[in-house]
Amino acid sequence: MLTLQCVDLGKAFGRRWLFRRLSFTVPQGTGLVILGPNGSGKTTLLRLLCGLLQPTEGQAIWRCNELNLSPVKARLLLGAVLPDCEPYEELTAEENLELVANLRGVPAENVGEWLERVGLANAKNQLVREFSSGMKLRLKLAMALIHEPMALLLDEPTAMLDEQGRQLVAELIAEQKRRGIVVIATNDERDVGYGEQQVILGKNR
Amino acid sequence: MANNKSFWAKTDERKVQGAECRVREERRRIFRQSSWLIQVFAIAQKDFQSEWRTRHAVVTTLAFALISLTLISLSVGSLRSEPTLAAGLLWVILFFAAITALGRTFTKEVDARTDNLLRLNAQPSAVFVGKMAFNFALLLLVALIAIPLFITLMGLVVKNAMVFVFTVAVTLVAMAALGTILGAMLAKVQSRVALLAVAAFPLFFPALAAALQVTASIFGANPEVSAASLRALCAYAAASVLGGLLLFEEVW
Repeated sequence: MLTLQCVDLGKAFGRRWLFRRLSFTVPQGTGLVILGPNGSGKTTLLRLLCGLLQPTEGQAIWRCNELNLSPVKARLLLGAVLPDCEPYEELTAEENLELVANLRGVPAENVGEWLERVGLANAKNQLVREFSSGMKLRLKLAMALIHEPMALLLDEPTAMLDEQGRQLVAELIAEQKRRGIVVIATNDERDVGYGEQQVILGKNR
Repeated sequence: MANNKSFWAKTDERKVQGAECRVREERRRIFRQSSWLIQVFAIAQKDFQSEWRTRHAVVTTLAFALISLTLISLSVGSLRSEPTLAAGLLWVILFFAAITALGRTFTKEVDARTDNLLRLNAQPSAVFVGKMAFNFALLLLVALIAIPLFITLMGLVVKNAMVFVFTVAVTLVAMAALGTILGAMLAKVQSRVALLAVAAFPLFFPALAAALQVTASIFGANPEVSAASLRALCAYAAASVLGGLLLFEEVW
C-alpha cells in the first residue's frame, strides 16, 4: 500500500513563493491532477515529490507498507516523465531503455515488450535525436514505467501526442492506478479526468 | 494440553514467519534495483556508447595533447633532454588535456537534461564510479597516444618502464576521481571550464608534484626513484577515490 502525504508544503525561489501551505493526501489507487497556469509551480511540485528539489517549508512523505520515506528515499518506488529527465539523444531507443532496465534490475526481455507497448518497436534502432517530440514522449513513458513503479509522476503527458498516443496514456494511467498512484501536472483540460483529486496552484498569486 | 499449546504456538510462529517472508518478498519486489556493480557498468557503458557515436571528448582532448606536445617539442630546442623540464612539460600537457576531458562528463548531462535520469534511477556512488571509470579510460587513451609520442619527440630515455607506467596509471586514477567530483560540482555553474582548471589545480597538485618527481627520476634526473613520492602518490590516489565516493552524494 502506498500513500503520498504533503504537509504544509511550500517552495520559494529567492523571495518569490511559487506555492505555500499545500497539504493533501493521495491514497493508493488514486490519481492526482495538478492544475494551474504557466509558472504556477506544477513541475516544481513534481520535482519536490521525487526529491530533485528540496521544499522551502513543509514536507512530502511517501508511506509504503508502514515505512515513511522521504522523496529521495522513495525514488525506487517512482517513475517520472519530467521535462528535465530526457533520454540520451546519441543512443537508440532500445539502448536508452536497456540503460534504465540495467539500472533498475529489470530483465532485458522487458525492453522489447515496452518498445512494442509504446509503439516504438519499429524505431528501436533509431537514434533518439532523430525522434519527433511525440516519439520521444512515448520513449520517456516507457523509461518511467519499465520497472513497474508504485507511483508515476507525469508532466504534461499528452501535450505532444496524437489521438493514438492519448489513448495509450489513458491506458497506462488506468493500469498505474491499479498498481499505486499517479500524479499528473497539466494545463490541458482533457487530462483533468485522469485524477480523482485535484490541486490547483497559482490561485493566491 | 501442554503439547497442544506448543502445537498452536508453533503454528502461530510459522504464520508470523510466513507473513514476514511475504512482506520481505513484497519489499524486495517494490524496492527493486540492480546491484551496485551492474549500475556502475551500465553507466560506464552508456558513456562509452555515447562517446563512440560523437567522439567529441576523444577528439578535443587528443587534439589538445598532440598540438601542445608538437609545439613544445619544437620550442624547447637543446633543453629537451633536461629530465626535470621534460617531466614538467609532460604533466602540464596531461593536466590540461585532463581538464578538457573531465569538464565535459557532467556538463554534457546537464546541457542535454539527462542528469535527472541518472539521479532518479541510479545510486549516487554508482554514478561516481561509472563516470570515473569512463574518465580514467579516456585519460588512459590520451596518455597511451601522447606519452610515446612525447618521449620520441623529446628524445628521452625511460629508465624504469614498469615504474613509469605505474606512476602514470596511479596519477590518472587520482585525476579521474578528482575531476569527476569537481565536474559534478561545477556542472551547473557558468564558465565552468575555466573554473574547473582553477579549482582542479590545487586539488591535483599533490598528485602532480609526486608524479613529477618520480617521472623526472625515471627520465634520468636521479638514479633512484623516490619511494616516498611513489607512496605519497598511491595514498593520494586512494584518498581521492575514497573521498569522491563519500562526498559525491552531497554534490550530486
